[in-house]
Amino acid sequence: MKKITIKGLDQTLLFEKINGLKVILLPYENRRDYYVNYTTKYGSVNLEFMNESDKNYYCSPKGTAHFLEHKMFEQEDGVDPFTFYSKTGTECNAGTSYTKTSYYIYGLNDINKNLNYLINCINSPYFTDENVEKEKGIIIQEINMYDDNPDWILEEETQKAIFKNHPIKYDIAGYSDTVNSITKEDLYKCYNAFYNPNNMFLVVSGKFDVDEVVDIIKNNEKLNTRNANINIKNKKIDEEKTVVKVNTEVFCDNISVNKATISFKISLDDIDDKYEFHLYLSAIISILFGSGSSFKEDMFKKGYASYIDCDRMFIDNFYIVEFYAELLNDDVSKLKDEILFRFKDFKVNEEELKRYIKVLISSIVVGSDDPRVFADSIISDLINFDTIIDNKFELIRKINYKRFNEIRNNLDISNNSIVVLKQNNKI
Amino acid sequence: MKYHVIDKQSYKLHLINTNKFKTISVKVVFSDVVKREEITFKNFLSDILVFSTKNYNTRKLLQIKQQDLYAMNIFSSCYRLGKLYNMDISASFLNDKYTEEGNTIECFKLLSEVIFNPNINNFSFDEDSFNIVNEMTFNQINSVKEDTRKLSLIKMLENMGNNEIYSYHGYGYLDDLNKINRENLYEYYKDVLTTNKVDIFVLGDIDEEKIIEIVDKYFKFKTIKNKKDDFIISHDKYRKYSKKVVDQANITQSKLSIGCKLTNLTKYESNYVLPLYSTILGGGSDSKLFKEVREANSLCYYISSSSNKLDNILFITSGISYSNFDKTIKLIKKTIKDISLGKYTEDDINNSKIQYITMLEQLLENPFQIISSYYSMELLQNDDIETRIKKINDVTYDEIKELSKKVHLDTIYLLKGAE
Repeated sequence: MKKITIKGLDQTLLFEKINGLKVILLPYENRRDYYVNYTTKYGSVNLEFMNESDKNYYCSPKGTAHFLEHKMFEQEDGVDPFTFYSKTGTECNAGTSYTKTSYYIYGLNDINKNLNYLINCINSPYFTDENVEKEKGIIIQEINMYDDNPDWILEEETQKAIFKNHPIKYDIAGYSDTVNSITKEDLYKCYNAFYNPNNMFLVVSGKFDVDEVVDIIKNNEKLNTRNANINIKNKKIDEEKTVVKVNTEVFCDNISVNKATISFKISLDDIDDKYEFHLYLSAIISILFGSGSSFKEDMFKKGYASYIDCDRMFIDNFYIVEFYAELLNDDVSKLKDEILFRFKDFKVNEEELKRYIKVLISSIVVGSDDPRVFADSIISDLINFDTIIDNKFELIRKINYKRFNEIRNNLDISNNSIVVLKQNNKI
Repeated sequence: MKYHVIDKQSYKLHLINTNKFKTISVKVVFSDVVKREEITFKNFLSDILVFSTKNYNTRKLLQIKQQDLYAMNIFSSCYRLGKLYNMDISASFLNDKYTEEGNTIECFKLLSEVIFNPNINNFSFDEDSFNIVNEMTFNQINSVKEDTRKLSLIKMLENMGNNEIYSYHGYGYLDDLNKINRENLYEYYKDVLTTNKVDIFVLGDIDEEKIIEIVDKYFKFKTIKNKKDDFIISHDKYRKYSKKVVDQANITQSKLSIGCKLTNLTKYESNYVLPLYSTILGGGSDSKLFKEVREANSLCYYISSSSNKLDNILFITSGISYSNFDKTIKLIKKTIKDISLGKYTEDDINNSKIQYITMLEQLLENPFQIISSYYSMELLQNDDIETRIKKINDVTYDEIKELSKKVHLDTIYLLKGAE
């Protein structure tokens, strides 16, 4: 295995491709727990795709990735993984996002057996008409649960206001009718395309024996007999640089306070180094709007918002910066003007940037204490940047004031969108 | 891991020495008997103390100070434990090994500033900080509307026994918030500092002598020692025929909450048999309720049970379609009855034991959970983790069956969604 030592963290990272599968090991000395995360680069947005040999794109029903997540734990022998893992007190769970589906286990006992079982599970699907049918009621209850969550509704409406063509505008779990239409053939088709080893990562972190774990992965028959020569082509989405709607109003019954998102759609077409851009934009946002700034207090005093938070997301060739606000005033345009003003004209001195670097490094050191946090950060780098960033500290220390100002001055924040979620007063 | 307690009369200092973490974690616990009208006060206080201080008198200044100390984290929380209501002021920061000599002492000084030097002018809290925290508290109280699962649980408890302590919840109450002003909050602050029982926990790779010296110097409490209260809630009555309440709400999914009263549990049963019973019933994806209601009948996405041994209540929650309400209740009742008839296997028991033991062992991987587990030892005179593991392993089939006779389905509540 390739061994990488992460400087400043006393942490070793081992990497190897095993039958196409990217395997990353993060051994910890002084822990008792371990965490395994098995992820496919397949999320709710991967609706249309083809194999290299295909002529046409195949279009899968909305919600198929999430449906597959539910069904991967169905085994032919009838023993479900929950029962298997409960015997060693091991937690197991799974999650689907826009861009990935992850399966993970977390526990203290029998890592070798548990890891082997997880690999078997993910590499031996068992879908029948009956077990697919049975799952529909459960998934529809899950969709209903999210439908009652105002923050979720606001998030969905925000994606719809930003993206015209991109499937990120659809619900991750799909809709009652699309879920009801899904068949076992759909599941196999998507499984074969996206759950091939080439499209997946396996990260093991915490307490384990490196040699034994490598042996298990290399000797797992189910994994090693999979075809590793599948290359899936996702349909390229022609997304517009502008947002769909600049102003949107949505109504909801059970909200406690009117809220809004203000989102910026930033195209990455002209950005050469996505990671550098991400580092600097994170610095810009944190310094201008984070807890060390006066932004939140100022917005409160001006009577605009009582709570504001800011989030960032990569999706294909776009970077989305989203402000979430709980409103004191329904006229959100003033709040947006304040954000625009700060992005461009608010003074930031070099000392603030230096403090930011110190804080960022400290928080990575703190995060590395937890094998789950550290493993998840590696996976998110693999999804967003398609690589393990082993010289993170070096890159962070290189952040400088000149480049900070260059990137800040060149930032195009002209494509933005406001979505307001209001209490429904109509009876 | 080495643990010892020093009784300083006005507070107890708990030192937990371990080299497992790169951080040092500190928690100061203020504990007092719960009064409904004080919950909102205490929530408010816990937020305003960590918002700004006398020397760092805006949020920004306090945050910048924390950042300068290598991103020191200071946070607070309030929670009810049976008849007690606690406020924790906590901090975590990197060990000097990863920062610079002297950072630890600076962090203790800042935590001391947060607790002992609040942002007071003219015997009242700073106006700007007060107004912001006031709005935050207002929103927090209202936010329960959005969490319909939690709302259903609160309504169930209110229906079980209105004004009973077990129905008090930590969101706070609007009528109490309206009574809070900058002056009486300061009076309340002084009251908390002098009357609440105080425990200080310090965990990490620490030089104990040095920590004792620092805490001695910067944490001077003049607490009047509390008498020892009984803080466990017990029930002398339960409903023979459970109460059923359905409230209308404009939501899609109906949120179901069921409350069972637990009567006459011995301390041994509360600590060792109840967690196993609850795990077998609805503790996870391997539980009876999950298998019956979700997997076999596709009626829900989530269903689980959990128990609160200090309140002596067992909860079951789920999200369902209204049309399946009766069917779901029938299945839940049947599942509860099956356990009382002894329809569970040695395998079920062993799985629940190992799940519970693993959970206990996992506590040891997280600094603040280690602190909580020592706190519960202090408070409840609980056994230490090793003893708990041994005792839980010895729980028998008959003991679980015996406990099931003390579980009384009392209240069924449905926050009704679309039909």
